[in-house]
This record gives sequence, structure tokens and C-alpha cells, in this order.
Amino acid sequence: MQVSINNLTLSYGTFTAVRDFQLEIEDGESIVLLGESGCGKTSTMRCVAGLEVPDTGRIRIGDRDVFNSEKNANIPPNKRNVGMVFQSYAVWPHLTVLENVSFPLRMRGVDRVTIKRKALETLEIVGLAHLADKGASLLSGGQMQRVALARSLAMEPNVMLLDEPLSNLDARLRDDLRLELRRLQLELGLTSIYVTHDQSEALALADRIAIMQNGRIAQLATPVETYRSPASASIARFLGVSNVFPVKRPKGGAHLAELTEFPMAIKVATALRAMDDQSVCLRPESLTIAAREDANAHNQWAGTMQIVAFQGSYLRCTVRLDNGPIVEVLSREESVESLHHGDRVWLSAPPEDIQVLSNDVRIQE
Amino acid sequence: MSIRIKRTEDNASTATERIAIQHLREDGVRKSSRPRRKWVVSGIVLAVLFVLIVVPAGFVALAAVSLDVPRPGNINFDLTFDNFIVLLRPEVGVAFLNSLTVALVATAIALIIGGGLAFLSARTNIPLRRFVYFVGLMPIFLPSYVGALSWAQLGSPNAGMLNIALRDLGIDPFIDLYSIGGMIFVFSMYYSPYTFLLIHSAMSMMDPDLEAAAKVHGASTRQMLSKISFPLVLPAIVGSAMLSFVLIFENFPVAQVLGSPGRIDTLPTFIYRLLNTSPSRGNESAAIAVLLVLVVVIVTWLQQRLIAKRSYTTVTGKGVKPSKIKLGRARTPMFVLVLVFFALSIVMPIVSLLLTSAKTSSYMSSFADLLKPGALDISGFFQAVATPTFLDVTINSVVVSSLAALFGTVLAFAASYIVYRSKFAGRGAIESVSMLPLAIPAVVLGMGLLWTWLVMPIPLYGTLAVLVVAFLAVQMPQGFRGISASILSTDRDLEDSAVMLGASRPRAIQAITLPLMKISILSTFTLLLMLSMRELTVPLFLYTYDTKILSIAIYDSFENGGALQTAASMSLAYTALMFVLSYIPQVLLKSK
Repeated sequence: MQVSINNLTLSYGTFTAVRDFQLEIEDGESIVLLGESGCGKTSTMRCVAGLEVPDTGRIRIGDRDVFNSEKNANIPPNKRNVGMVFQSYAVWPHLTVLENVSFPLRMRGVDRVTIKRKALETLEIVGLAHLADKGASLLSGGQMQRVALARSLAMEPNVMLLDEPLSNLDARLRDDLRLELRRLQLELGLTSIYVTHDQSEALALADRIAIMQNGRIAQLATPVETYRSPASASIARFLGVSNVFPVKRPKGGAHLAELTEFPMAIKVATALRAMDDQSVCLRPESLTIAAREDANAHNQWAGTMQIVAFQGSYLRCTVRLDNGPIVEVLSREESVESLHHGDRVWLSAPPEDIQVLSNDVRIQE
Repeated sequence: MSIRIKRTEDNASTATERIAIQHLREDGVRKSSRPRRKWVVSGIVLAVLFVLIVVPAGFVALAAVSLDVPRPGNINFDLTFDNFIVLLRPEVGVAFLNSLTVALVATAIALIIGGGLAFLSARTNIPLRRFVYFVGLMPIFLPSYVGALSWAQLGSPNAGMLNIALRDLGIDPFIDLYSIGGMIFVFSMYYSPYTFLLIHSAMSMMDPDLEAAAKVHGASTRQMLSKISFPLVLPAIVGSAMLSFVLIFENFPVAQVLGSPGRIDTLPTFIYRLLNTSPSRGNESAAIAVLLVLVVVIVTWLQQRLIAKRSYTTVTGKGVKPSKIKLGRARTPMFVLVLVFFALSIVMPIVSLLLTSAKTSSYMSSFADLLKPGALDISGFFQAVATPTFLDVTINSVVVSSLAALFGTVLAFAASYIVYRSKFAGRGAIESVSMLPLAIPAVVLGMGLLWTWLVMPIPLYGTLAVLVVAFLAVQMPQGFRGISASILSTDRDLEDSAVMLGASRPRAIQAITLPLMKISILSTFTLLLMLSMRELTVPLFLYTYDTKILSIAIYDSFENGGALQTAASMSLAYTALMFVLSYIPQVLLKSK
């Protein structure tokens, strides 16, 4: 179901966890709230769940206001028909797998036969039907995860909330479950809000990613857009983009960026603003490594190769530039394979490939 | 990060508090948008706690600064500070010093006994480790005044059985339990289980990797123990020391049994005596009570400061078995010491009670007397126990204790749930009031409860109900702590997820939270039951002829002299009853 969140504000005493938050979610869309801990992503989700009561704002699920501070409306969580998978799974250890999954149906007063049939069907979907009568405390982490998921699926929720559901699993299982979650979400057409601080999880699962900073959305875009053009230097760093360097207020012209920390200048195609708060980003994949100097290159810096790591389809190198910065490069050039630790190299990048970013997203009040 | 130490009985647990504080930080205190509704539930609980705890405490405070004690229809508000002049009397100074000496020395010894037994049973290769654990725990089943009573039989200056035995051996009798030393001896034995339990759980929950790391980095076993292991259990040691100190400092019955024959007063006995002189000097006793409370508050505050300074996040609740330390040549001598303690704390007192209850003649000059035909007759025991009076007081005890434990557990659950799970207003107040009785010695609280229920328009005084109400007040901190620890260690998501899945909040509590907490709720119930069964000081102020309970009956027959055989017989039956009661919940749990 469609979800719209307007002007949502939630504060704990003097600390404002969520401020003036806006988000429209399409029916069947998967939104990922991505951000560092304390950015307000979990608080936002808990407001949608009804586990936190916002100070002000409005939350609509389908055509029903589940919260509206103006009308003083606040539907309790058990009446919202919102599914939620908790980070700790919250699978009840004193019940069996089947009893766990039957719970929402029992609460709805469905008859026994239907409960059993539907619960088993749901367990089938997550591949746990064979464990139906097992005690929930005997399950592995991955299995508990599936029970938690099945339990929420069984209630046929209007919206599915997932609070870092994979963070307690080991890496391999996480990768598998990530794809499975996405498959289920697409197949069942679930409208879902997924909270995580793991950017690769966000990139894999989202239709749109909402990056949160300081209680609001700093960037809302598809995974590809988000990764290709982060809205700010801090978002770029958070997404794991390397080679982000702060630059000085431009003096030598709006197209010459001087690094703040190193004696080095970079030509950029995008004009710099006459401000201090900008950075440049040399995307590792748009840098070229050469074993000798190229007289025609625009941005060219000499340096020493430090590490060449073979990663299968590409090479990942670190180069220490003579001017000081250490730069990461991803290369698919075969010629680079013959370079070693200590070799002299020249890096270059066309000015149009160099991103100019504000350090932080400017907040429009 | 938080410390998780298994909490027991009276654990002055900063762990709970720290988790609570942290919890508050995470959860925040929010400006409420609808203040009215947030007060309803907490208001009811707060009102109950107010009547149970704040009113009695307030009455004592009021009595300390007014001309007359609160009486029905007349609560005196003529303020004066004259009552505090009593503090200048030399007897008060002596009593204060006695209390201080006894509490300090007995705490130190209890710490050595409890800590030693904990170390031996948790961390070493001592023979029969489970038995050693049992020895450490065992004295808790003997209420301290039963211990004092039986040791009075053993070690009173002339007629004490040990002195008789010495005389039989041709040695001049020198044992005198009716002394400061005697009190210290009895206190340190019967309060050692508290230190034992706390230190034992800290020691067995320690992450063995921490010690392994010390070894890897070159420490010998001795260095590892002194530099790593010992400092890690320091919070448990400090916590249990403070707890024992407070409990001993405020203890009334032991000091009364062992002190009064030798005219040695401690603060609690002095207060009690002032109150029972005629005319009663309630205002002055209240003034001394304030002093007693002050000491307890200072000690509690000190403990919080000491432990709060450092973080001991390394003691985790993993429940892994730490490595065992080899005792080497000390193994046998250590075990012998354990046996000696077992003999002194359990075997000898029980034997003395058995002998006292079975002796046909109350006079005994030599152990040879006991060999004469007809000198010992077990029917004496049955005669004492088969009386209707004994049955009545036993039933009273069981009824009062069961009800107090039941309501206490319910009240503690309501209070803990509001404090740690809800966003209701007044959570801080509920927590403070629940923990308040911890800072009020039983003698003081007993006094306050007496005045309260004499004044209250509800006619509870003179019924068993007043005892239930009093026990609820006295044991609120223990109940609150027990349930809180369990609520805090139960992931709140478990309940929230039930709500998300369509259950109302009460339904979620009933279907999820309560079943998950079943074991700890039951153990809190047991704890409160045991504490009520052994409580003597508070009912001493409140009982009437019709509402005698077992602890009072034993104390009465002992204090009134002459009825030693009855007292001993009842003590035996009482101890057996406690032992049985403590097992009932476990049996119930298993049968399910």
C-alpha cells in the first residue's frame, strides 16, 4: 500500500531524532533508509510502526491516517497491520516455529484450520515448512530470520518494516538472504521500508535509497543514481567512495580546485562555488594508470605504486602521489598487471570525470 | 555496554541501575503530547507505593522532629529539634560504636568466608566442589536469629553446651557468646552467603579469555589472580561488602538475643528499648532512627560512587566455564577449613537445637547427664510442635508469607514494567520509592508501619492483613530488583513484535512477556516468600495476640526464658519448613 509521511518530527527530550521528515512511498516499492547510527532511521521506522509516538506530523498508510498530530489521531500498532522484522528477530523462544507464525492469525481470530493452513503456506514460502514443530529456541540465526519474516508475511501486512534484519548473520548467509528478501519483496509486491547502515545491502535491495543524516533525508534516489552522483562529500564517503578530498575556496579560477591538505591542484569541468565547503572526488574507476608521462593529459600526477591487488575482473591499486595524497584506482587495463610495488606511475583523469561535491547537503529551511 | 551479573537476593545492584540509566538515555524522556493518559496507570501504582512506603517513612521523619508520635486522630505537627538531644547521651554513643564495630568486623570476616568459599567452589580443584558450593549457600536457610538462638545454647557463659563440654574436659570454661565478639562471630557466619552468592556468580561468569590473555602475556597464576581476576570481581566484592555492612548494621534480632543478656546495646536494640519503655519514648527513638538511616544512606551512596567510577564491561553473561586453578598442597587443608565452617555454621547449631528440644531436664551440668536413661526423649520435640498454638502460628506464617509474596511479585512486576518498558509519567518516582525501604532499617520501618496502620482509617491493625501490607513494604526493593533484572534481560522486541502482529499491549504481555519471564517471576516469588517467612523485626511491632507468626513465636518463647525447649523445637520445625518451601516452586516448574 502507498505510504506517505509528512512533516514528521520526533524528539527525545532536547534531542531531535527525526526532524520535519518527508517521504512518499509507492505501492509495492522498496525503500531503504540508509544512514549511520543515530541518524534517525530506526526512529522513523518505529514511528511508522506505531512503537514511537511522533511529536508532530502525519503518517498515511493507504488511505488511512495512522498518525496525524493535527487531528490527534494515533492508531495503536496492533491495529495498523504493519509487519515488522526486528534486528534481534524477536522470535519467541517459548513457542514452536508454527506457533510463532500462527500468532498474527490467532490475534485476528481466524479459525484453527485456516490458521494452520496459512501458517504452513507461509513457512513454505520461506522454506521452513519442515521445521514447523521445532521449538524456536533451537533454530540457527538464519532460520530465526526466516521465521521472523514468515510471521510478518502471514499477517499480509500493508507495509513491511525491516530493521537491519541481516546484521546479525555471517557474511555468506547475509548475501544469500539479501537476494532472497529482494525476490520475495518483488514477487509478493510488498511495500517495504528497510533500515540499514550497510551500503551494499541498500544498493542491492532498494528501489530508492533515502540517505538520512541528522534526522532527515539528505538524498533520495535510485541505487545507481545514489552511487554515481552522491549529493555530498559526506554521503560519498559513507557510501565507501574513495579519493574524496576537501578543496580550498577557489582563487585561481572556478575551474581549478586546490586541495586543502596537499599542495596539489586539479582541473575540474564543473565550476566551483566561491565557498570553503567543497570537495572533489576522483572516482577510482575513472582514473587511468600509465607507466610513463603523457604530454597531452589535462590532469596528470606522478606517483609511486604501493599495492596492486588482483580482484578477478579488475585490479585494485593504491598509488602514493608525489604531492602527498594516497589515491585508490580501479583498473581493467592489462598493462597495469605488470606493474609492481615501488614502480613509478602517472595517474590522469579528464576534468569532466571529476566530481565537485558540497561537503554536506545544505538544508533548505 | 553493561555489566551482567546474576543478581541475587539483596544485591545492591548498580548493574541494574546502570542499565536503567543507559536505557533512559537511549529511550529518552519525552515531552508528552497527552499528559493526562500517561499518569493513569503509573498514578495507581505510585499511590499504592506511597501508602505502603512513603507514609511510614514520613511518619518516622515527622516523629523525629515533633513533640508527639502520630496517633489515631492526632498527627502532631508541633515541630521541635529537642528530640535530637538524645543523640548526645553516652549510651547512644556506645550503642553507635558497638553497631559500627560489629558491622565492620563482621563484614570483613563474612567477606573472607564468602569470598573464599566462592573462589574455592567456582575456580579451584577442591574436592567435592558441589558440596563446597552447598556449604557456602546453606547458612541462608537458617534465619540469623535461629543461628543466634542456637549459638546462645552452645556458647552462653556458664550453661552453654560448649562450656559444659570444656568443663567435662577439665578446662576452665571461657566461651562467651553474649559479647561483641559473639555477635561478630554469629553475624559473619550467617551473612556470608550473601557475599558468597554475589562473588560466586561474578567469578563463574568471567570471560576465561581475559585470564588466558594474562597468561599469554607472561603472568604467573598468582599475578593473574591479583592483577586481573581479583580486580574484575571487585564490583561484586564491594557490592556484597556494602550490602552485608548495611544488613548487619541494622539487624535487630541477633543483637537482641546475644546482646541483651550482657547489656550490650546496638543502635537497633537501643531504639527498640526506648520505644518499649514506659512511657514510650517514640520521638527520641525516631531521632536515633534518623541517624541509623543516615549511615545506611551514606554507605549506599559510597558504593554507587566506588563502582560507578570504572567500567567493568568485561564481565559478561556468557556463562562459559572458566579454567580451574590447581590448589596443590593446599587442597586438603582448604577442604578441612570448609568442613570446619560447615560444622560451626550448620552442624553444631542443629545439634544444639536437637539436644535442647530433646532434653527432658532443662538443667545440665555435664555431658554425662545425657547418657542417663530418660535424659533424652524425642517426644519433647513433638509435644512442643503438636500444640494447637504451633499449628496456628505456622498457618499464619504460611498464609501471610504466601500472600505477601504473591502481591509483592505482582506489585514489583507492575512497577518494573512501568519503569523499564513504558513511557508513562512518574517512572523515576516509582523506581525511587520502590528502592526506598533499602535505606530504612527494619526497626525504623517497623516503627513507621505501626504508627501508620494505627492512624489509617482502614482497620487493618490487629489482623493478618497488616502483616501482609508491612511485608509488601519491607520487601519491595528485593521484588523490584528481581523482576527488573529479568525485564531488562528480556528483549523488548519480543513483546513489541506481538503488538505489531496484532495483539493488544495487555494481550502481548500475557502471551509473550509473562511466559518468557516465568522462571524469574517464580524465583522472585520464592525469594519474597522466604524473606517473609524469616522476617522478625517488622512483625515484632505489628503482631497482636491473634496474629502471631512463627518467627515471633520462637522469639517470644526464647526471650521470655524458660521456654527454651519450645523455642528450640519450633526452630527446628521452622528450618525444615523453610527448606521445603524453598523447593516447592522448583518442583512446580519441573512438573509443568
